[in-house]
Amino acid sequence: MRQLPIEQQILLVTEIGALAILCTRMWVIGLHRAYLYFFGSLVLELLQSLIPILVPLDSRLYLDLYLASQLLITIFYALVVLELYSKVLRDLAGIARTARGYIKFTLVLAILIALLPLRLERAKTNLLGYLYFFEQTIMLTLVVFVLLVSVFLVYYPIPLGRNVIVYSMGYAVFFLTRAAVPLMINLGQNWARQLGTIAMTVSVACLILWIFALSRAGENKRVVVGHQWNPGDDQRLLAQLEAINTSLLRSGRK
Amino acid sequence: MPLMLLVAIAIVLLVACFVSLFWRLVSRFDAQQCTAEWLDSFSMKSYAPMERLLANSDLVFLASQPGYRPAIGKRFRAERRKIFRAYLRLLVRDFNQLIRIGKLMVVYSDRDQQEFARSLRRQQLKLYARVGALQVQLALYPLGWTSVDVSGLLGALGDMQAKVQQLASRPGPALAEWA
Repeated sequence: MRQLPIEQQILLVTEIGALAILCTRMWVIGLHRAYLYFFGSLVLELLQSLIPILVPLDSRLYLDLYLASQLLITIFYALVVLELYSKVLRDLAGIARTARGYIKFTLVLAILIALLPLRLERAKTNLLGYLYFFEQTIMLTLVVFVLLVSVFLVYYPIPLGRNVIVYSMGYAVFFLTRAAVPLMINLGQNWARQLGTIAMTVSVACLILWIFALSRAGENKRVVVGHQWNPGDDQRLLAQLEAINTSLLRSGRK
Repeated sequence: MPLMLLVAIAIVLLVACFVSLFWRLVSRFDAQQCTAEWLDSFSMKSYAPMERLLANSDLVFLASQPGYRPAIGKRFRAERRKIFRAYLRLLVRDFNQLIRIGKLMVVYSDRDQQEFARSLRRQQLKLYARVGALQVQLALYPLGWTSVDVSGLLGALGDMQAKVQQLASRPGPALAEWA
């Protein structure tokens, strides 16, 4: 850890602590089964965070371990997002085909948008450069994907658990930072240290958000009413839907 | 530096989009507004006056009365336009309410409603385009443009009501699974 700036050392220790707490919390409340890839990515990140403590930063072994773990984590991020939205859109027969079509379209559009900044990039000279490039493209794809799927969720009154919203918010911020920082570093600015610190701070903030906001109760699907989640809303909504149906049939017969 | 600025602007825009989207996501749907009472009270007849509010015949009649001055006609047109705008706001609100009910029924349906969902979106776009065109016509109304046709707008509202009714008449939405 001797090569990291002092502020990043503090953030790294905080991140390791937060990751360990979040993993334990998810395991204890049973969310690790519901969000397998999310949990997997957290465990991988925890293991990756431990590398600078165990292996000297200037060694070849550190670089190899970092590259391999980062590649794996990046792939996991993509799986995390797909896991989240397949969970949200599952069991909704009424919009099944609409959602599938939208997801396909969104995925293609997100990839195309993520490829746009490639023209701005400098030529890659080493393996790390290629990794940053790969990570940045995946992250930007995920940012756009999360954004467009959120549009769909805003448009349709799909019942969402509080966890899904918290989880999406955290990942939107996280992916955006992870996409923006390598892009800015690739653009050749000499702010690598500051940008690295920002990325780590955002990462810690997201972990803290998830520690406090993810809960077992947050898994219950609710149609959001106003800015609160009320357990009585489901029953009331059902009664309303049935009344609406009756009213429409009645007026249709008039 | 301009490139960096461009990237920074793109990031700020993305952040703004996310903030707005997540805010809408947590406040996106007020089920309290979608009630059977609202549907029972909804009637297309409420919008019948819109068809003749901006018609030229009333103005012609007014102009034929003794004591008529152009200032009276101007005030008459301004008031009619104000009333028409109020009706238009109500119509858009009611249309959006019907859309909300339609979307709710689509989401909670136990069979695929892709066609219905598509027609909801199409109707919504059509109505907003019509409202936009009508706003332009309204802006031109004081200049003497009096041929404002609202039949398309009222037709779109009627169509939406019919579509929602049609969906309701199909066998039961799977509401129970969300209980």
